[in-house]
Amino acid sequence: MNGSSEGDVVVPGDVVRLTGVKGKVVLGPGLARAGEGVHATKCGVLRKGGNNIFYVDSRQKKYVPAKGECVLGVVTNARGDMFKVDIGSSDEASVSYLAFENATKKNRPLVNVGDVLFGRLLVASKDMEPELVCVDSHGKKGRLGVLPDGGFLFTCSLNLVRKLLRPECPLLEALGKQLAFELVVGLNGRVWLRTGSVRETLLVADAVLAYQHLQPHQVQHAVDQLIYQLSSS
Amino acid sequence: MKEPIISNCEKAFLLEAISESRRLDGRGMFDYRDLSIRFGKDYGCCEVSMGQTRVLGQVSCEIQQPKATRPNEGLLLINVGLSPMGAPHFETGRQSISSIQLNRLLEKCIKDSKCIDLESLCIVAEEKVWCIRLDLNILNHEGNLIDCASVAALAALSHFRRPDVELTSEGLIIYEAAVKEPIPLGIKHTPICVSFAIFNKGKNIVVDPSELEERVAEAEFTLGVNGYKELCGVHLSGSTQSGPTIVRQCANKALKRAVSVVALIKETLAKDSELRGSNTERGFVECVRQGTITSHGTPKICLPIKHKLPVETMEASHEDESSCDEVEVIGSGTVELKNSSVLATDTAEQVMEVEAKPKVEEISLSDDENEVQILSD
Repeated sequence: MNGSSEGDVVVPGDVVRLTGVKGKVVLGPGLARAGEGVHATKCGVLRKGGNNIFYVDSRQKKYVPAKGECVLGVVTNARGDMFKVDIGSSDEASVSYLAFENATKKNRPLVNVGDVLFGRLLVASKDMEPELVCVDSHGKKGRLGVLPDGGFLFTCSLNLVRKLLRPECPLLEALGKQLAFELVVGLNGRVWLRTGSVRETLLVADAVLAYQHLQPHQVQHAVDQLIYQLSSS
Repeated sequence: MKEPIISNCEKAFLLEAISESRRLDGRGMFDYRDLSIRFGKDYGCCEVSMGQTRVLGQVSCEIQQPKATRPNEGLLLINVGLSPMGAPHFETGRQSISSIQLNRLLEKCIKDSKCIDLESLCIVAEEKVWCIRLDLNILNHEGNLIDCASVAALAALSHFRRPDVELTSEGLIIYEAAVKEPIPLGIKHTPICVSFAIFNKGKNIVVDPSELEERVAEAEFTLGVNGYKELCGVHLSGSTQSGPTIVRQCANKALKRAVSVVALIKETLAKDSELRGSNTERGFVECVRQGTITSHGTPKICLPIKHKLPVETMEASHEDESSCDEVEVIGSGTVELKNSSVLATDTAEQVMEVEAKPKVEEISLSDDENEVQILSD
């Protein structure tokens, strides 16, 4: 049997056979070209997305910055022209003080050390430090910028954030029917959450973390348990 | 690498949660994480984990010249190594403040309290003594390194055996383990450290702090206590406005904890010597096979679905002195929890009646003075 095909578990170095595709093939994360063939560079399950995209579905906690992704960062240095933000990658990202809505040289944004920012990665390559912006191309804030007080920030794996960001996430829909909460999910494995009370926040965070291992049919039961816990206090 | 910064919202949230007597991982304010002790194949090798914090201890021995000031005593060296394996911001080689503090606390607790009988390690006075070296490696840092390291130190020292020696006219003979049974160290008492994190100007204390709790706490209070409920060391890092009540409360809890930890160490040691005697498979490989040592697949904050309601408050500290100890088992039978309105107090209390099968005699524990409060799970 030469090579692994879709649905197989692969480890780095395994040769991959890309079957059932005519024409151009797109190699997603975890796959690399080696001469004529393709091999896996991560441990995980080989999957096929769409018609011609192959990738390795692996569990990862360390974030590698990619352009265009929205991430949550913590400000570590707020002096001068550039703020330094920790986004969990190997380098700290930088944000210009002008990259906020309504920011001018005279009107500096109110950003302090320890604040949580939700920004989009403008520049992200392995040779340069990443750069964030908290404003879109029209100069509007949208959902980006400094997050308000009173929330809770926690980290999780990158798989979980991708699962949460899928359209029609069953957990968030089920929770949204019963509770009022604000949730910001950063693609760097960080989640910011705010609800009415500490207890609610802890329980919702718990449900979000447990969602990593839940199947869609188990979600409703987990949410029901959560609501029961809340009401029994 | 620098230690990653804690955001303001995490700090504020944690402080608010602590003031409501809730912890992020769902534990009670005075709940400890699961402590497990595993021994390796060699004598003196032990791995201790408290929740996700893991420390590996290894004891080795060597013959050296004694110190000039103490020619009759052996030597004991304790070294705690912080490597990037434990946390990304740990650096090998460079002595950071936390590494110095850890080393010094363990020295105070173990060396200065003279728990190891050093005089029995003397072979020839002024010339040859055993030098016992204890190396602790932090495998993972998830808070409360001091406690975990002290348990690892004590377990490793209790487990260790040194070779048997004989002084003959020709010289010193060191026997191999196969020839003559190695000898355990003389341990006079069993000190361990118990840490408490203090928040909100001394109003809230938590035991066994996690990493985030440690960093946000205003002070950390560590007590060295031994299995005989004696104090072996005290240390406060940080500053807090706390009075004697805090110290007394912490001391009471630490004493209880020390007794239970020392009992666990002795139990694990007994099991290990049984395994060695019966020549069955043992050591870390076996632990991996059995699934008792696992790798980290769990997220950083483990919140169980079931959050415990706060049952113990600061005012209920009288409970500590009247230790709500246990039901005396008279005989086999059934235990029934009845919700009776016999004792009408603010908190819901339950009268537990033990029914012994052959006898009709019923024993109900409802003391008017010592109210036994059964905590519902």
